[in-house]
Amino acid sequence: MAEDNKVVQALMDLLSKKNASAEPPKELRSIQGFDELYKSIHHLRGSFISLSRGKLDEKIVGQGFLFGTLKDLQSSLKHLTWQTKRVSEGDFTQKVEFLGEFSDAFNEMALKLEIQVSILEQTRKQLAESEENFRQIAENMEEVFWLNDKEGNIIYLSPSFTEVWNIDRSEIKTVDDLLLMQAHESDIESVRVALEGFKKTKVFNKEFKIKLRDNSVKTVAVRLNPICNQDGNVIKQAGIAQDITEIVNYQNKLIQSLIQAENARDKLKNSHAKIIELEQRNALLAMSVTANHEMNQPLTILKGNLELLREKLDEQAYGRIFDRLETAIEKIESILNKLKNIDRVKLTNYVGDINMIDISEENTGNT
Amino acid sequence: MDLVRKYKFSWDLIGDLKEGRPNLGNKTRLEVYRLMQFTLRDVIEQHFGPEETDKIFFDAGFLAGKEFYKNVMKPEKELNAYIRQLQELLIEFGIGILRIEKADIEKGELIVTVSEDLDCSGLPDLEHEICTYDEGLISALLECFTGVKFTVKEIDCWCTGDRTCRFACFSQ
Repeated sequence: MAEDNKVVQALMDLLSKKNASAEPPKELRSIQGFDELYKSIHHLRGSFISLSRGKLDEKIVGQGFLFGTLKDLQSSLKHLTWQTKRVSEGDFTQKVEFLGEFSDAFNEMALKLEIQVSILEQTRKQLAESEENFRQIAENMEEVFWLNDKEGNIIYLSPSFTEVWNIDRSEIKTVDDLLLMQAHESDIESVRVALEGFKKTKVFNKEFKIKLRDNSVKTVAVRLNPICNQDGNVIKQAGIAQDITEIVNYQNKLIQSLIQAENARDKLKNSHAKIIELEQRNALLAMSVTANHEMNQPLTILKGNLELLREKLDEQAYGRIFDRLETAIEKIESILNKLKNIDRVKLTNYVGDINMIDISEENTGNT
Repeated sequence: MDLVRKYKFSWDLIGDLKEGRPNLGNKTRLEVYRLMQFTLRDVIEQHFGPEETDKIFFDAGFLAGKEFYKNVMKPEKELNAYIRQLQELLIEFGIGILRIEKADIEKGELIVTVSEDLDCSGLPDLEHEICTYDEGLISALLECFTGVKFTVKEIDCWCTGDRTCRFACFSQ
């Protein structure tokens, strides 16, 4: 009876105690089959402990229902480990079959992971395409494009910068470097002021000259735009600069040409006026010569005949009439004389829309 | 002496089941399958002894694996996809539940298990492994995929008191 109790106690110790001897108590080893039973249970206990600690490669030695069940569990865990590794490598086709709720949970996890990874992959692809598009635009546009953080540190600067500024991009660390380092001495102060103003107004839109290291001068048009987050706070700035040297040169040439054209137009206008005046004067001269030529002779006849009449007729009765006739003849002679001596054609209004030639003394030079 | 073949296997011998079994279809009771296998094994053993019987069953399993690969499986280039397809087909055909414990195809080492195996699950303890047909089948399926010959040995079996059949596979 005492021996039976020791057998039960030895087996209970194997099942319940933390530390159990690998060997059965000496006094029980003589019981037939007990040594083998004790060691089998001890091995089974060791296998359970190993599995509970995640050690899946421990060899389970033993046969029978309990050992078989434990091997089946070990096999399932090893298979799940293998499947989980495949899932972690991106193989979402892995499915667990016939393991009850665990199968459902694992398969749902794999499905959700596949969906999430698919979305991530799609997003990554779109992002890559977007970046590629941005890169192509930025690297192929003639304008210089850059991004800087809110402290002014350059995040991205397009390759065209080197072509415009003629210095390596690596030399440019900040926006101040970019805009002030080679600003022309005539413009640098205004650029500095505009940059200060940009901090308050968020507006920078300026044309200024830059002096390159080979002493050549270019003109650039620069625009800065703030980039804000959802809260309206500036997180970055985007800048774009265009080399407008040729445009400015063309503008200057165009202005020069316009001035020249204006001058030429004035000259032409003056010439035209002179031609008109000359033509008018020639016409007047011809008219004057004609008038003098055609009218002087009748006037001489008039004057001669008036003298004859004055001698033959009673002076007292007709003297006043003769005087008036002589005065009229002298006035006609005077007009013919003025026409002969006129310098320039000046018109003066006669009546309504009708003009007449100004033959006043100021215009004819006669006094 | 050349052997005159009378029973050379071809997939045609599976027959047209829809035409041949319009009512019973492609289903049968597992007992019938096992009845045929174990009576056949018995008779072969009586004629040729246990070792030769095991060899015959291995070779038959190997032939079955090659034909199954050729006539049922779709070509795959990637191991995981191949295993996934095989798992699904073994379940679909009711052959067993294939699980992978280890697969290092570069070293040519795999440990696979087949639970609820067609040949042995539920058999009484026999104190020896019995799934030699499965060994041949698995060997052929691995060889067809990799192009390399594989040695496959069953190391745990339902019949040895284990609850699953475990196979160690090594490339030759």
